[in-house]
Amino acid sequence: MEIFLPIAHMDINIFMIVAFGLLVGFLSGLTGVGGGFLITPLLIFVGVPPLIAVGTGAAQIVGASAAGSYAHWRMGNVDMRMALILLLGSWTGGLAGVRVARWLESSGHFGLVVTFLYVGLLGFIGLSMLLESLMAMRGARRPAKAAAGEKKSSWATRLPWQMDFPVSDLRISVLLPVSLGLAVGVLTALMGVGGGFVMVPIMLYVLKMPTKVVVGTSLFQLLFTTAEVGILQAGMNHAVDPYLALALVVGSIFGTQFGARLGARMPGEQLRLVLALVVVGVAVKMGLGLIIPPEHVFQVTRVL
Amino acid sequence: MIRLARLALSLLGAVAMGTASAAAGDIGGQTPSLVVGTGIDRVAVTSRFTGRELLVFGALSHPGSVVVVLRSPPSALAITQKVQTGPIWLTGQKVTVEKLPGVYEIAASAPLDRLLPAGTRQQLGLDLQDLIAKAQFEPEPQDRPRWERAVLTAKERSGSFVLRDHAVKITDGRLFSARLDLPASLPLGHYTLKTYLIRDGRVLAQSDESIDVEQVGLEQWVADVAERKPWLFGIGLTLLLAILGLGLGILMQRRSGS
Repeated sequence: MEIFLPIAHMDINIFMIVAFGLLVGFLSGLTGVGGGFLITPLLIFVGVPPLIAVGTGAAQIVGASAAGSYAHWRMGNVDMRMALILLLGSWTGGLAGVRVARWLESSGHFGLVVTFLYVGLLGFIGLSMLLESLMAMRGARRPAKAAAGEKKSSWATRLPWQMDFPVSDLRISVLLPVSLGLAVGVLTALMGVGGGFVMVPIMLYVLKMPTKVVVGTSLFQLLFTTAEVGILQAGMNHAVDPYLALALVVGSIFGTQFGARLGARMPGEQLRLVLALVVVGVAVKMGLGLIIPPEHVFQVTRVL
Repeated sequence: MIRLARLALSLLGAVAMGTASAAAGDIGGQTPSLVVGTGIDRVAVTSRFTGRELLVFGALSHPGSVVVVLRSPPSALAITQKVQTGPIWLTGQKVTVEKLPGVYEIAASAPLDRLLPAGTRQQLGLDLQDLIAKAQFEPEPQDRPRWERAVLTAKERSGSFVLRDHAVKITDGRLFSARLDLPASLPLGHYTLKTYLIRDGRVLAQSDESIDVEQVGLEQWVADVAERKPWLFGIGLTLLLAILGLGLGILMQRRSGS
């Protein structure tokens, strides 16, 4: 069913967008890795202007992560103090990022910057996931990380503004979660991702939070970060398309359920290999877009 | 219905009048005139709107050629140039074009350059290049003609600027009909539809109609709020997405749990 998107100013088959949501939700449910970093490239591939793909990508994560955040919060898996300090950083980063996005869009460079960011980030994530899952499938043991962790905590403990986080059973400097939040907020604004793939490993290996709390807290903070960025992208940049966002949310919630059910019965390494291949594929396709001569040297973009 | 009936009546009148003057055998005997109808004076744009056909028809008092011109309100556009740097295509200069109609469609019964001299074509706005030459480019590019060509190409590609030479059909020298294709992305507002009766390089008669392009229903409300109150729209949509996600998510968990 073709509909006209009021913000993106284009026709699109809305069932195709629901299918994107289903597909990405399915992969996300299957592997437990959030799929925000696949939604934005897919939207760009079908011709949605990059800024709208990024803004809508962030907004749809609000819907996709709401139920999960609520469930973790009710189970007490959210370190609320940590989450609020992370949000202090990510809301600031989000605001700065949306302003940068506006500036880049008005000078006509946003699409290019997003492509570079995606090629770099997806290439890195995809390749490291690929290596990890290949190594795991060969049965290679990963070296213990305890030794490295001890060294890290020595400089981390010397930073000012130490604070107790009883739920995570930690005492660390406020600067660590604030700067982590800051980075994630900027990523959310410029790439339309939740940033879980950055936040979770850092919480686990750098901050050394307990795994159960990491999942709940990161989900909780990304819900509110994407909500802030979604509102800012709509308010400042007119960059959130309502029909795209609703279709993606509906698709991804159903997709996640199917994925999670199937994922429980399948070996984790192979699943991660599949996701890694998809991510590398998307990065390559975006990268080729930079090299292949454009069909038209002049391109119509949005007036901002 | 009443509109159509009235239109049919006036068409008949015009044809009768035309026949009379044709019998007299000269143009001077009677003021040339034309009667034009479109069947609609309003185009309702919903989110399902993916373009539509606009039928323009009417009667001529004297035989001649017919040109139909549909012009939308101005609509700004931005255009960027891709530049190759090493192996990579980067985005170069960005130029905003203003004071240019969003949609401009010309349908004629014969090639325009044979119907009217260049001066008259420009005067009547029947020259697409000239139209773009009069638009405002911001910032003014160094190689303006190249950018003008790019704008024309882009507008033609999206179906916003159309020039069709044999798109008006004339039957018996008295009745004409033309089909215009409205693209999906239409600027809203008051469109003018001008019809010219042309003979021997001169405009014998002209008729002005108007069509309002409006958004309707829920879509109109959504697009309106998104455009005029973007902050309210952002907050509302974000809340809606959260509620939808929470509701559907809990529903699914209940179903899989039971």
